[in-house]
Amino acid sequence: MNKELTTQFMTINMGPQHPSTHGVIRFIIDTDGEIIHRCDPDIGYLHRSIEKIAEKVTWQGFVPYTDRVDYLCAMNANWAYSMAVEKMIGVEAPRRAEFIRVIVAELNRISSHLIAIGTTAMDMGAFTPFIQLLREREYINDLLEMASGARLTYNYICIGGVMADLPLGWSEKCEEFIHHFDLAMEQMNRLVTYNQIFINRMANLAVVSPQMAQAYNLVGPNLRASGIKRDVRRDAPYSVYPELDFEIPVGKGLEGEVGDCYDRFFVRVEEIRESLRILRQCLKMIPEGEVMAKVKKTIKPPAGHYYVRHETPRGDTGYFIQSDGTTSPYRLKIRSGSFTGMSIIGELAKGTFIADLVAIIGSLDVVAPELDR
Amino acid sequence: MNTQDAFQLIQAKVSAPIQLLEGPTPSILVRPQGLVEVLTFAKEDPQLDCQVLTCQTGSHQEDEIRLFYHLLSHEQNHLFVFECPVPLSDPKAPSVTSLWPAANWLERETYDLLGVHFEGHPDLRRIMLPEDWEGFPLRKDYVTPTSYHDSGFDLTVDNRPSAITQSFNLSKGDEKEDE
Repeated sequence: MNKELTTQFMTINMGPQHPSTHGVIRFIIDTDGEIIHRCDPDIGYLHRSIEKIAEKVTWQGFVPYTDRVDYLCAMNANWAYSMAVEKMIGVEAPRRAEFIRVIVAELNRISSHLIAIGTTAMDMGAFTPFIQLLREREYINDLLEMASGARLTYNYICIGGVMADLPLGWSEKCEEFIHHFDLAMEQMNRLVTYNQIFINRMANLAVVSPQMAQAYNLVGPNLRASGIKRDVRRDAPYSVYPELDFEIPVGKGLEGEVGDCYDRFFVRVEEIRESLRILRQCLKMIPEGEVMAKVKKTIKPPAGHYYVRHETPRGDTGYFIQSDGTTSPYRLKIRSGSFTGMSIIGELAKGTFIADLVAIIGSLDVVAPELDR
Repeated sequence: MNTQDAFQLIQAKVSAPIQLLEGPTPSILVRPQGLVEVLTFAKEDPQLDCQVLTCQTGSHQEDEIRLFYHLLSHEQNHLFVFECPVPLSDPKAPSVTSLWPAANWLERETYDLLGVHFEGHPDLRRIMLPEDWEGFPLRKDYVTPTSYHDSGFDLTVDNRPSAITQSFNLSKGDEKEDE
């Protein structure tokens, strides 16, 4: 027998409809048995030309579209855009409005991280935590619905302030939620975060070094998990964040190397705790007063280009806006955290198991609408 | 460090001609020939230390496409904007993928939507739109197509009132509102 047995790579297709891709994303994977040899993400299935639409609508008219950029944290997206336009036209929101913005944005951050944590656990095969966390998230949706009238796409924060003041009794309801949520987090941590099976699955997997995180332009929790303590709320402070007392959690390599999947997961758990801290302070500090500044009906920002950074749950989101002095943006680009988070997957997935790919996607918290825009 | 200081530092050390642009956001103008040299300096100089290419995009302005590079330094906590005009007749710019891997996808997006060819890019394909899409949508002279490759779908919006609006008397109501 002189014949040599040869093996060849098998190309398999994952997605676009796949339960673990959290949206419509496709991966073309070359596999060597169970091991990934090459992974090529194919995106664009949710491209809704939001940047092109921006050139056709008025400055105020674009606010509802920002909801659709990232439906898991629409408040933050509203805020990022409104803040950018406010900077361009030199308007400052009233103090009460700024506090309301921080409160709703931090609530939204918690709900977004709950989905990130829940889906990561679900992709690992644990379905119960996901359902439990969805239940907790529903309280946040209710609170935000009381304020804005919508569950997910709020259109609440607008240029110059917020759409309406918080309804009567809202602060008490929010405090009640925070009290309840502390216990719910403990339960969640017992179930997932400190679960040895889960830790073994996530630790030392897909380690991102600080240099790699910077080179691939990771932002937000993904960057901080690699040990780089950078948060736009601290570096380029906006709103009332300088007055608030909160920590910036970074990855410490609790169960393995710094920057592994477990660190990325754990940073989000800690960020929820910090958000609760911010909420408690804001509910005490919030002053009475107006919630909307005087803004002209026709906005015409001075010509020029602007770049405004905002810390959303997926990290440093940049709004690049170019104005030519007319009633609609000349060019608008949303530099989202998911986009760069996705571009690193091809590199990270090399040499891992197919089953680990879903853990990597989950730990990077990629949201398809924000990725494709 | 602000943009003025960075401009003077680059001008003193790099031979490629640069220009300081005033405006709401000050920026530094570089020609495509000197782009890689200037951005390499911005990345490697310890005072500038721009380890992160946080945003790369472009916009169509009359007879040129202007590329924007937003460089960020985590250590120094500053952000600089570099502008690079490329002519519309020959939209070519050097790729900076070798400096920052993040540029790979960002440049692909700029290529896809604005049609700028990045020379030296390892994998310049469309990223958002299908491979066979015609034209570059974010150019100002782009005409929105009404069908997709003779697929039979007509995407033209029909604004004529349908029969049901007349039987439900809806069009009448609209007219009243207009008055």
